[in-house]
Amino acid sequence: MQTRRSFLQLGSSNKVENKNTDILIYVFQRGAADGLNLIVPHGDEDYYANRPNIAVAKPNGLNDAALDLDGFFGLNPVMSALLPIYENKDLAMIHACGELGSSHSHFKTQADVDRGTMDEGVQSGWLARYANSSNNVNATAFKSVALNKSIPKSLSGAEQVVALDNIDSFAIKAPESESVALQAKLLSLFAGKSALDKVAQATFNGLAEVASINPEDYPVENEANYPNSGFGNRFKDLALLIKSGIGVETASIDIGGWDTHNDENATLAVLAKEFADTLAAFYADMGDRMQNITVISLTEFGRRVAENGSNGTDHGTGNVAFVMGGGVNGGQVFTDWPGLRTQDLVGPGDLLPTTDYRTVIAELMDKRMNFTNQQELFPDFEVPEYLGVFSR
Amino acid sequence: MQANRREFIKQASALTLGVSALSLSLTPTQLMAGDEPLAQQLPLTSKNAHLLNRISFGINQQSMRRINRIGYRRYIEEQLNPDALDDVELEAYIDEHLPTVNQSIAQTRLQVRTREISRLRAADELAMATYLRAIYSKKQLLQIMVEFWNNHFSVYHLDGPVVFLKTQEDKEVMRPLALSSFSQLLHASAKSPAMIYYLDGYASSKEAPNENYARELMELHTLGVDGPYTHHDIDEVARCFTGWKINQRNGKFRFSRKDHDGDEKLVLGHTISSGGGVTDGEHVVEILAAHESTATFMATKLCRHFIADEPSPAIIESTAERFLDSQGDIKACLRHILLSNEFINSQDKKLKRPFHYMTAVARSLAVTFTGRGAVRSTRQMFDSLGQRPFFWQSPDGYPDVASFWESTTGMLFRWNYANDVCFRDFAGYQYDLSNLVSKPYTPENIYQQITEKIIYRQMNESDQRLMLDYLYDGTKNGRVSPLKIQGALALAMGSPYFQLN
Repeated sequence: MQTRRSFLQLGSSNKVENKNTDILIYVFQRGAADGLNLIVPHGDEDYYANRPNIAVAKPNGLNDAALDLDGFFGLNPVMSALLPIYENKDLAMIHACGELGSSHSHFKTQADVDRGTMDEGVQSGWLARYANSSNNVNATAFKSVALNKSIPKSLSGAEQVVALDNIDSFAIKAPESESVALQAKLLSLFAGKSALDKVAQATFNGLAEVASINPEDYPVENEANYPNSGFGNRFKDLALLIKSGIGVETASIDIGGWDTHNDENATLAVLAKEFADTLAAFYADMGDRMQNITVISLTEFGRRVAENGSNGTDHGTGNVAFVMGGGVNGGQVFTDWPGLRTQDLVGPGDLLPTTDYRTVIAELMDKRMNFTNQQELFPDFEVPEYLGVFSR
Repeated sequence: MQANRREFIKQASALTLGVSALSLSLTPTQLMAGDEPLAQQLPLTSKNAHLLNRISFGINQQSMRRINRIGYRRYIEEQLNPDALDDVELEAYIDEHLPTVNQSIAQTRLQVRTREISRLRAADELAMATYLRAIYSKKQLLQIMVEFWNNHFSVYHLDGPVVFLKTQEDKEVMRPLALSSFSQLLHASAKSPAMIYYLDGYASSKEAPNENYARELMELHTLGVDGPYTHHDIDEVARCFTGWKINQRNGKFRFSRKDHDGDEKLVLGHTISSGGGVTDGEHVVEILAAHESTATFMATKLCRHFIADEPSPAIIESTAERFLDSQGDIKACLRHILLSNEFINSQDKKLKRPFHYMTAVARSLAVTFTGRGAVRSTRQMFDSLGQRPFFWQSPDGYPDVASFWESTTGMLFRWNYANDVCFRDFAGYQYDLSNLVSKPYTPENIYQQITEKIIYRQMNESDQRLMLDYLYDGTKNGRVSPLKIQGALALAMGSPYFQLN
């Protein structure tokens, strides 16, 4: 029944990669990850005063204590898989990062971060604005890919984007004798220029690309060990796509479940571990290819500095961003730390964001993606001096 | 964008009489919402078929006959009064084959504890029952509204005990109240243990109010994110709902006075005096249900669901007025929407969401299901297409706009679902081809029946030619093989003529 091989070939597959720029992978931790319990400010006594029940202990060599990063910040121990990458200087974090004045609504702020603005008149995503600007004449259907069933707002408005949930199922199912004729007729039924027509056409282009590769030719390398989870499997598929040379330039992957109002550390023990183990597996699997790959992970906002009464945290503002890749000036936590005393906080008791998340993206775009049109990228944001997170 | 807009207007103006209203009802904001129209202009269905597309989970021959017999308005009234419609056989089937749907939480828990059934059995059975009701119920508009409210008050099925509690919520809140008043629903949802667990109300107390429910109650259930509330209102509302808990023994609502903060609160300018108990939260529900912002927010959601992804400000405003002057009467709002010109002129402005697409395919073909295989196949397809009932993780519910669903994966799996069902490659799914398509099996006759029984409209000339080409290819003695007929059905259901709503 599976007819990948009998697929109607609609066009030639281009396998030329644009080597001038990195492959950019945008991870979104949906639900507002608690930056303070992921990258722990163990050198700030106010952290412990605010979180008597859920704070991660100061580094002390024991299993449940933070793993020191720089004498002030430490890694949540469930994320220990990231420590070697940090020590290898390919991983950095930006703390007290976010957007001042962001709403405490998940849905509004996720849309803001995906679009790169609070201006609801701007409907395209920042990743789409970058993708549309890149004039790689050899671009394939997989130029922008969302490892997802749907297209996230960050890629909204992209000229071409494939949403792919999993490689194995990305094929038309029909009896052998009917498959080619059916596909040809379907394609003709969607021959117009409307949104629906374009999606159907992108589907056929994507099917043709996927049909042209043999997944078995691209095994996991370097004994990388992906968690068998939604996030792990999606990164595993993305690694395969990149290795196959199918033409991925930008990719988007979500990991949800970070809304820890209740019993936070129990959630993080699973979720933050899955997040870290997946990134570490991808890093290992990609090997030297990481020289031309940048992963950036954002979340919509941080969480309240003080814990709530349910061993959880409510919605906050400042948070932590992760960047990984050969072009990252890793082994550092970049921050202009605002402090956690009551007078240091904003809103209902939130970490002050001293670095706008767009400053990080703008530097990444400039130094790694060869994209300097900051007006196009962030129409209402004036990019300040870079932090020095990336090398050219 | 300019070019696209011109092109669209050109297309629209080239159409004949009944359609020209379509271009007039488009405002500039709508055009800005996407770079291009959702779909090319296609030959339209009848007004009755359009109504059935929107107030049922797919047109079938019985519903088409019924509306053609009694007329548009009477059909709406019949659907708005579902008690007179008979689903006895369907409910008996559900009772027998999906027993957890109607049994108590305690009984289901006991069966899980004794390993008689798996922990996820109740979730599977509720999703399947929802699907079967959407396909077979005569009370189609009721099923549409049940889905609407389940999605408006969205909870995630795998969040702890929600796996059991959702069955109770569906049975005791959503189904009986789907066509009642918004205020009744909001009260019942606030006291529903599934919601109390999902948004952490159960963990909230006088000493430590949890703000999760308070925020989403205002942002997602009533006022909307741009509504007139402040962070202080969230804190105060959270205090009002302290003590709203779940009775661990029977899974029902319980008010715990010792956990309740009985001091005075100020919510949206209303003072809630000290000394209140469960009435504090009930008072908040009253304030929110009657609020003008709630009327606008709910009118927008209803119009978006029934009319178009970007309904006009005029229809939202008039629906909000109807909402306010009827005290949130759901039937009154639906009548207003379904009898409006904007509704009648909104053909093809919606894309069927995956759940609706799946049920519409099944209703068109008169699919029947057997055994656990059908439950498994259906669950797999819910997951592939991306809309398993009660499986949206965050509290905002599945999106109700095409821009979310029109992805490559979404398109592929809709095609594959139609293929699987039509070619009978799906465990537990059957349909009777000879009953659906009558002889002679000539290409023209089959095409004709597809227009009458699947898409309920003509295709444009080139698409018609294309369908006939497909059917002619491989005919023997001028007759089309059953396999080809199945392929033609799948093609029609994969096409924009069927996917659009």
